[in-house]
Amino acid sequence: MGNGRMRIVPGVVVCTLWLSSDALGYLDPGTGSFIFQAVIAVVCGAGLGIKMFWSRIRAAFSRKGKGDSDERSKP
Amino acid sequence: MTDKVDAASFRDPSGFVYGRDGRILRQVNQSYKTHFDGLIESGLYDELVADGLLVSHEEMSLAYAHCGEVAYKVIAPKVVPLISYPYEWCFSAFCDAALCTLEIQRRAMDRGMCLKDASAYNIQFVDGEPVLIDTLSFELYEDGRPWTAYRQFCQHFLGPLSLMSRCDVRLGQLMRVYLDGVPLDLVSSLLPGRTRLNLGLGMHIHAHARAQRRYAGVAARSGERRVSKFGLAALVDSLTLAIRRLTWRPEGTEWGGYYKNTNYAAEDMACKRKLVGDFLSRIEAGTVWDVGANIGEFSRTAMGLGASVVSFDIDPAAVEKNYLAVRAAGERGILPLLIDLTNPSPAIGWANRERGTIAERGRPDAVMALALIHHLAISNNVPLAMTAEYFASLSDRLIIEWVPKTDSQVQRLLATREDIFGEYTQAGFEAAFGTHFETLTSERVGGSQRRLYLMRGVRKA
Repeated sequence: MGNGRMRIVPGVVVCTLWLSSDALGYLDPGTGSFIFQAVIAVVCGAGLGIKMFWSRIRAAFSRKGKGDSDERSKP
Repeated sequence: MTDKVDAASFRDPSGFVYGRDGRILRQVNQSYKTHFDGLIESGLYDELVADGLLVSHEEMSLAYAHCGEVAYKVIAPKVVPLISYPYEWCFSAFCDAALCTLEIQRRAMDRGMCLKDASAYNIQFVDGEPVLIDTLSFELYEDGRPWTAYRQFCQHFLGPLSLMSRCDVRLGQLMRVYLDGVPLDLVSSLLPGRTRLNLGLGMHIHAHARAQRRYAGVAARSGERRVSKFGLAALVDSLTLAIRRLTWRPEGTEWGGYYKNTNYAAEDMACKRKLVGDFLSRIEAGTVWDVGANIGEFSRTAMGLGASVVSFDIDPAAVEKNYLAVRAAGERGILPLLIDLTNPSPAIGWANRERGTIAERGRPDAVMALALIHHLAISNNVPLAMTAEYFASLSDRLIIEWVPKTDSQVQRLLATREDIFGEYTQAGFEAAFGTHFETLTSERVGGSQRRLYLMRGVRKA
């Protein structure tokens, strides 16, 4: 994910969890992992969706560019 | 019929591993039937085996079952030459094992299956490549269900690898302390603060550890937590990126440039290589443990003669360089492992029987200990007799290099310490090793002061 804007959404979610208060006990780390995963999968899904969308746009433009240059290179 | 049930195979009710008549077998229980059939019928098993990601197996008659009443199938998996553990892997090998796990999960999801375990112990190195050895690690994918192995993956792979990459490569040894992977709160507290800004580590380690603390006392309602298939694929993609972005350069450690700093003349080195080759050919060793192998110079001599070699060294940089060379050349005959011979991998886990000592996991045809004896005897104060006894417990054949006190490398070791090593003489060495071995031949290494011995274990009455 090279685009800076694409880091904002996950950043906000990460910060929300990061700044949350401590729980009292440390009983079962698996529960937290399950709940956390449901949140983080949405974040990663959004990131991947944007990445796929962006790469299609880039591919479309590069195809067009390549097509133009191919046209120009024809005798 | 006396089956020996594997001491590490008791956590999963899907089945278990046992040995019978010298064969390794795995019973698949009735309770796992639908998942096992899913693995086979989806084509996932064939795909993974064809691409070297999963160990192949042969289906056996149910007459081989250990508990016939609950058995669905009995399979005989292809035998892994030597089981190794994550705390014995160098950084890149550990990364490759992590990526192998994620690739298997990705392919499993494509075929309607899912990994239910992401234990680093389920990955082994065969012919230089990581491969999953637990055929019962799969389950049918249920739409919307979170990945049950996510936490385990972070604890077994991403956590220790991030510590090795961002703090100190030696922190991989934490895997030896924590059997089910390094707790994420510990990883989070050890990692530098700036890693909170790293997308992968910020999410999968720091925020993950925070969530574990936050929800520790909350009753699990996992059924209410849904994760879409696309979200799960994105999670695996994100973990893959996080692993790929971890790097470590093997520089600045004790042995990194060892072969540039030896006192061997070029012709003596060539002579040593020839002698090692001659000795190995004479005993026709099929499996060799090269202890103190450094970057595997002589392991390759053994491999060139057709031997399957395990290259042990204490230095993470040397093992890393050796592994990278194996990977670059596609060498199938060398397994580089990180082992401190003065404190080899202990037996750990339940009743100290889940993970065996290195000596319990294999017995090679020959042990090579080249340019090592002075480090054991002088740097670590291990008496020659105890070294001989330990080597005799490992193998019946030994190729060992004697390095006398007059050697410049030994003089370097003695430069800053009192010489309390009166027994460290050639006669003392031959006497100590003579208790356990008979010398078949010995040769001086070129024009150097060193001597190479080929020894055979003596049977005790």
